[in-house]
Amino acid sequence: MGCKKCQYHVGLHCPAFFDFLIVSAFIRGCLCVCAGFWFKEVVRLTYWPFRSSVWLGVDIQPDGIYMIKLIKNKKSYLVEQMAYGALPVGVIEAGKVRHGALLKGMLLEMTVTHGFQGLKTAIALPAQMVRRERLRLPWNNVNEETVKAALKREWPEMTGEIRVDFLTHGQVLEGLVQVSVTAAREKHVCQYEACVREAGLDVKVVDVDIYALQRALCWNFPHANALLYGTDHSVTLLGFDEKNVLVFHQWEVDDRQAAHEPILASVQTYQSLYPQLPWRGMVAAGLKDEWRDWQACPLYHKSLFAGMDVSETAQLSEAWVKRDAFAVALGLAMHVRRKC
Amino acid sequence: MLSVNLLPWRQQKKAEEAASLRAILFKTVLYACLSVASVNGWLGHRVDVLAREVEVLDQTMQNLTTRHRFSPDAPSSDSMLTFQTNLKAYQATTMQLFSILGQPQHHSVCFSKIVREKNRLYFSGMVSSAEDLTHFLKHWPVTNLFSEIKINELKQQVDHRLSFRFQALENNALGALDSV
Repeated sequence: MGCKKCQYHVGLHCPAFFDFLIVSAFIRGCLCVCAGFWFKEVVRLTYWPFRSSVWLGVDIQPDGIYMIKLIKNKKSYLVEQMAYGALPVGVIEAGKVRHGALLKGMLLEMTVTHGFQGLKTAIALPAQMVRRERLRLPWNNVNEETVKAALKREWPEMTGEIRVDFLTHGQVLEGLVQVSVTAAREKHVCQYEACVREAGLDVKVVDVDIYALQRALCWNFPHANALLYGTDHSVTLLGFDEKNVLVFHQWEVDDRQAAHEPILASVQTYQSLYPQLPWRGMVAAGLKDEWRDWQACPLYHKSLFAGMDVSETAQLSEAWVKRDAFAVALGLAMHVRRKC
Repeated sequence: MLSVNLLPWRQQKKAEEAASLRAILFKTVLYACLSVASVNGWLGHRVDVLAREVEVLDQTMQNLTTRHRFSPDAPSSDSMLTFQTNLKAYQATTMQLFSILGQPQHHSVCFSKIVREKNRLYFSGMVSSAEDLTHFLKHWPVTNLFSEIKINELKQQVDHRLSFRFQALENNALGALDSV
């Protein structure tokens, strides 16, 4: 079949056909690029279901390990999987890892059993292992080194390497800006991180348990500025503003009925100590009926997974029975990576 | 919501941004080079194709020139000169022939038809006797234009006159015109 435009046969030796090939390839390339941009900008960011990021929250408590696989899709969450593994007494003591090998083995077993290998993971240090400070630093010289140096001055008993994270906020006054610093000893961070990493998980975040707790309970209560969270062995009270946790108290309790009165008294004490903190709403989770008559401030009893989707797999798992104890793990999985 | 990460995420983020910048620069340079190379290749191909076309046309033109130059039928410059000379001579002799034929002729011979075929002229007509025809041909002023005169036909007519037909072969100068 000959070319209509020239005397050559159709093929690469025909200039008209070669022009056609080049032009059609160029147009196809342009279309592909446009489709790619459209897909990336419109479909993937708006409708594409796999855009959702998958995170694993791992909460290592003295009594056991709590894991939640959470999928974030736009503004909602899906609890995909939950896992719980009991730890022998003594593996974690006072927030420190005493038997790393045992913890690692337990983590590895849970990871393999539930297929969590390679997931992006957030873990938490107990609040008692972390130092939280509010510093005032020159506004134009806030970086990791200056923060560490200032922290060493404020905290002279701190020896050895430390890990810090900081957040500047407030207005600049006399050239100084307020910086909220969270610091922990590097060896403690590394203990937790190494155990989890060696279990086949990709540790991306090391958080603090009270921050995770706040995130889990208050993500759909933006007006709340306090929370009360109860587990089988403890009750935690947090009072916070947008940038800081101002009140943190944890009661180890065996009989929660009996602990009710002392906790109420403590809350009233804190209310008087922090008059600047408007106790306008307190979110409560994991509490029993004895807290129904709470009068200290408005109390919103909240189911931990309210407003979230929970998969059937999670609901049928053995860990679902202990679902109220997954608050920290849930908050860890909800962690949002910060920008510089 | 408070968000803390005790891992060195700032350094990681800086490294990621640097890597991303390097990747963007590399891809930009790569795509630019690929674009230039593809355009260059395309133009090169077009130039090759056009060069081949030019070559084919040159070859065709050369073949035509060569064939024309070496053709046995092609007139050389000498032959063209000869042709022009012959043509002029032919025109002169033809004019002379028509001029003589237009002059008053011997009354015993009357031409009724003159036909030219190639380099031969055929004359037909009537004459009173064979002697008159012979006398006419001997003293015909255009005889020198012909190399040969041959009587083809001589017939006695009812009125005792003779019809004749003879042919005259033109000189070489005239015949050369047909070969051009």
